[in-house]
Amino acid sequence: MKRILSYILAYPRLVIIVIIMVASSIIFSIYAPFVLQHAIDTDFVSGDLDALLQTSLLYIILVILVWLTSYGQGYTTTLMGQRAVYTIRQSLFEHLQRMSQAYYDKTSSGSIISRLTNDIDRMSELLSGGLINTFAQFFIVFGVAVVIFTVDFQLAIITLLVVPILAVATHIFRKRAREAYRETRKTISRVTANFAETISGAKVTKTFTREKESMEKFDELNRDDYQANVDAAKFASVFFPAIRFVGGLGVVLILFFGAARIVEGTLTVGVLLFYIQMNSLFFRPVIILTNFYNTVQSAFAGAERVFAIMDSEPAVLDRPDAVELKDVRGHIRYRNVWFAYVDENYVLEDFNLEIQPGETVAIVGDTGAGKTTVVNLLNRFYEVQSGSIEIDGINIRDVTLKSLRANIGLVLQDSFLFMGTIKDNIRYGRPEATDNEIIEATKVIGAYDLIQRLEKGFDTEVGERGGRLSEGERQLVSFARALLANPKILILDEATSSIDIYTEHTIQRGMQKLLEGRTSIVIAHRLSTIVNADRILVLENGRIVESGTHAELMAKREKYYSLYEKQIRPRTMVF
Amino acid sequence: MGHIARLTRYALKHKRHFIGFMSIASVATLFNLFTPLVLRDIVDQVTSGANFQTAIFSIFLYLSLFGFYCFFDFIQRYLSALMAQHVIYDLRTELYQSLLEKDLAFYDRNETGQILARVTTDVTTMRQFLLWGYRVIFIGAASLIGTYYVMWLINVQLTLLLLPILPALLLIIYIFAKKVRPVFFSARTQYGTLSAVLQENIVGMRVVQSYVSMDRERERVRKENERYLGLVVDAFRLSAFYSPLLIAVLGIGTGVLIYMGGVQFSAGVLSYGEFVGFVSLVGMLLLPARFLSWGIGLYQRASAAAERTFYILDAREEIMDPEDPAEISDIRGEVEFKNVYFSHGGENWVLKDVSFKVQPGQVVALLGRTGSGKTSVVNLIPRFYDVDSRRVVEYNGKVYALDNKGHVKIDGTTYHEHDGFIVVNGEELQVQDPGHIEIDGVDIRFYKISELREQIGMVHQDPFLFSASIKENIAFARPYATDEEIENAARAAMIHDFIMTLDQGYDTEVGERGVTLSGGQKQRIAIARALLADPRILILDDSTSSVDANTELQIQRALENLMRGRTTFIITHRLSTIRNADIIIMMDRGRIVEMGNHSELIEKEGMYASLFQTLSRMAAIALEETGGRVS
Ligand SMILES: Nc1ncnc2c1ncn2[C@@H]1O[C@H](COP(=O)(O)OP(=O)(O)OP(=O)(O)O)[C@@H](O)[C@H]1O
Ligand SMILES: Nc1ncnc2c1ncn2[C@@H]1O[C@H](COP(=O)(O)OP(=O)(O)OP(=O)(O)O)[C@@H](O)[C@H]1O
Ligand SMILES: [Mg+2]
Ligand SMILES: [Mg+2]
Repeated sequence: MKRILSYILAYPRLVIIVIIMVASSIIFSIYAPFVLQHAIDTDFVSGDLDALLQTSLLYIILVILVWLTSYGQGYTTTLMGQRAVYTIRQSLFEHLQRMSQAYYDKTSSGSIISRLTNDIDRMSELLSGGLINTFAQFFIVFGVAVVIFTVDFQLAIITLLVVPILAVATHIFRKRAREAYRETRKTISRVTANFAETISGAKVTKTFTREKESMEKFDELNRDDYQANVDAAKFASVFFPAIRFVGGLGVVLILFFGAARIVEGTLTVGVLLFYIQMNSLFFRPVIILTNFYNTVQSAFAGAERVFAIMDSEPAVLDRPDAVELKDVRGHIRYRNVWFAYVDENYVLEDFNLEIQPGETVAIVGDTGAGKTTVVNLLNRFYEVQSGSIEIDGINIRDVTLKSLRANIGLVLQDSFLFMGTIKDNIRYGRPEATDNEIIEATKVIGAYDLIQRLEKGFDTEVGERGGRLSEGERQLVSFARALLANPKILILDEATSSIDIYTEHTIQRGMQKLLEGRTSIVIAHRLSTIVNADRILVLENGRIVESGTHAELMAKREKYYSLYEKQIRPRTMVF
Repeated sequence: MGHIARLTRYALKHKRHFIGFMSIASVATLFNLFTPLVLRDIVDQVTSGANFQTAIFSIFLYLSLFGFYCFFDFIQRYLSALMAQHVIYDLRTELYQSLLEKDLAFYDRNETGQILARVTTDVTTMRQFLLWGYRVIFIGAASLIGTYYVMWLINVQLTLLLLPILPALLLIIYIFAKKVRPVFFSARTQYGTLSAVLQENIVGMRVVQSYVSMDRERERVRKENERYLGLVVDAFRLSAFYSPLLIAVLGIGTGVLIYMGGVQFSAGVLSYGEFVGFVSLVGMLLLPARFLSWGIGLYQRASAAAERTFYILDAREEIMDPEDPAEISDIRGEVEFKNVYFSHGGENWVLKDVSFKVQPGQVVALLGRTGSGKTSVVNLIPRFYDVDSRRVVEYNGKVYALDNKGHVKIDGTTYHEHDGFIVVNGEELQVQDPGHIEIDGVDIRFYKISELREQIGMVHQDPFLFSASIKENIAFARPYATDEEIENAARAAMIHDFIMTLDQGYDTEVGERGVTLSGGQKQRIAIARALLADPRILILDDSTSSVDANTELQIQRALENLMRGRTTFIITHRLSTIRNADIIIMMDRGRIVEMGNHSELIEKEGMYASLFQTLSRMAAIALEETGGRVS
């Protein structure tokens, strides 16, 4: 609650305006009935039509003032609330940007999105208007509670008699409702996640005609959400009329005691009516508040989930005393690195590797040997469990993530492109790059003519995740993107696996130029890609089992030799 | 209008709930109207000093009336919640169904984030309307009329004087509704855009982080977020302006009433009590006015949301089942492409005049440069996309589509078709009829789509795994497959041994899109999944690109056994695989440039032969350099 408030208090000027607006609209609207009463009691009796005209004009002016202040109040509260929502969304997003890869491995994107959208929307109702309204109503309740004692003590006590019932009812409701609403937040987030996955996996579902089963699975989630909402509705539907009933009970009590006293002659009708009115004045805010309670509950349930993310510390963080990584030469060293994605399942065990500046190192090995893992660690996508990785002799944990990653260019195994044109995507790593530079980068990797051939050339829209390009085109674009960023350290993780042999050939020829002055790590299954590397490492189960140049390893006739031979000899060669 | 009417049709499917809550709502309102009368009686009874006993009776009447009201109110609320929830359930089911049926072109056109917003938050907005909208508008309209009726009973003249309030209220509501709707609609659309940007960022966080472009993405989100903020505030500003205006109109009415009432009072036409009654009646108009403006707001919001959601249900599917599908009993696996042209809409021809025929059981290898159209060829077989249905001519190696009147525009000039020909610069160009694809001699568009796809197993170029266990992923095609069958498929795909090293074996969860697996592991699970489907036609689209040579070889051996007698399409960049294919199809820029088996193509000394020689030379040099002996 306090925390939600703090987002609103961030706009003190607005808050003050809102308070002024609220106060004046309350004052104007309370003043209006007095004017009316004046008209009836004075002008009507005197029969002075001119005075009456003045009074009614005053009334109309007041009414218009009420309208204007209500407008001002509505507008400013919305502005305040929506700004708070905006800030919350923005800061949740910024926090998510800092979360490490391990977090994204565990959490489905659908459920994260659900928090960024659904949950924050729930808060928005509370923040814009709701909160202010709540305070105003509280104010009224307390005001009434004080005012009633000034007139008749006994009836005042009777009026307040039902408050304990009210308190108990609210208390019971609150606990149950909170549970119920929490459940609905969970179920809706599952529904959203399922929708998200169905949309991204549409192709696979179609391939295997799994529509029926997917439908069944969805139906289950949908049904759960239905149930959770109906359960929550049960509470809400009981509660609201119940509160009203308690209010009615209060009126009955007042009537009962009041009527007796009127008959006795110790009470006037006016006072009785006053208390009946006060009862409704007292209960209306309570009803509004409790009615609003649904909103509040679901807002809190949303807030809880949003804040849960904001409170989770990113696993990979800058140290407080982190320094910039500057003027990188490109010396890389893995020292006794131990790493596991989960628990004790070590993917790398006591891994050691030293790479000299400007050296090109190729890593080969069976699938799942840990090649991608080795490079993931260099970028600090994950944190090593023990040991250390150094660049130019500085532990990568001691430098800022920003400067570290800015110096490393990474072409990932699955190339992800952003919506936009090919040009936008290539420029992603260096927005200020000129068109010429972009063309140069694509020429080096032999992608220029392929891109040029597309309907709109470099201005072709790539679609979501680059879905409107062929797989190879996608890889080429992400390759070009990494090159243009001109990093000191270049990592190519199967960067050309889906690229045709011709184009790969072009890349090979350009490679020398490409890798000049950079330290690079190349991962590839296609051995033609790596023969020219300064050093080739054969990785097996997270260990380096062979290392040397192509010639050395071939001469050795062990692991590498057999890999290489398998790939080219048995079928390809016609000798 | 139309959208809410349509939504109401959904609501009416649950007639019992709908009618139930509407009628109970009216009863509850009636009770609510009665209670003040009883209250008046009580006061009259005690002030007339008469009978405390009758007063007590009235008090109990009051209590029970009020109790009934509360009870009905409860039922009414509950029923409307049930109804709303039912409708949402139905709507979501229908949306989901429709998403499953959409063709891939739909997903190419619409971003995930936008679709997601339409099926989630827009649906929530509709629920809000279902929960409150009907009731509020109904009760509002009813009490408006009721109150006027009572006023009429008291004083006709004053009622006539106050009658202009009614059209004024309606006019304001109308203007408000008209103004706010487009704002709500753009706010919803902007919300979709915002979700799309958020979605893309969450999914692509790895790339964002590795390019250190957090600041830039933050700005992008900020821009969309800000625009959304602006639109929402605009929408609410409109309601903040118009809603209290309704109340102000009533207030002005009261002001007029004070004066006119005073005039009538001094003329002796109006009694004191009547005047007070009138003022309170005008006050009572407040409730319906509030309800109506609230209801209209809900209405407009829901209508904008409904339009967006129904868009999904209405998006026309281009790929549909035939009216009278041909029977598929046992496919032999003969596949033939006849003059197939294909584009993703527009003039970007991805496949041009592709024709080939594959006998059952043959292995076909597709070869060609990146973007030459290999994936596009195989995507047409299970009808992920349909062959272009326009007639075309080719001129100077370019493809031009005819419109249905036989006109075609070439280099800015429009030509007309005559007897199946078009004459351009004296050159006669034959108009090609739309091509098609046959399986076992039947156009694939005559099969039922689901039955067709059941015959085809496909491993896509980018393997997509669901965030579920390995077992569920492999058994995706056949959820009731036995463990043994699953294991056999995994063995053939060379992934079984790895799975056994995992703590939870086949029950290990793979994370979204399979993030917790290495690239090659993902591909092999996708292969196992296709194998388990036991298809007559197997399509492997570059499915071993991330698999090491050793493993690939073993997979191939396993496949050779498994795929005997089945038609197989293989796309790969590794020549070792291609050599053994029965048919090798060389593609270039959407055309088939060479076709035949390895030795035929070598003899032909064309593109394939030269490619093959280049590579052989490379390999030989690499081996020689190192002193490694060849064979
Ligand atoms: N995010 C993750 N969470 C849990 N386990 C993981 C994760 N990523 C990889 N692994 C596991 O770690 C091991 C090494 O994976 P890695 O991706 O490094 O292999 P690789 O050598 O790159 O293989 P490939 O050639 O197939 O890409 C594999 O067994 C894999 O299942
Ligand atoms: N959904 C799409 N929308 C528009 N254009 C597309 C779409 N998918 C592919 N294309 C275009 O169609 C052409 C052929 O693509 P296709 O995927 O068939 O190539 P490919 O031969 O499989 O290439 P690769 O070897 O890279 O996988 C490419 O130029 C590509 O940009
Ligand atoms: Mg890898
Ligand atoms: Mg392809």
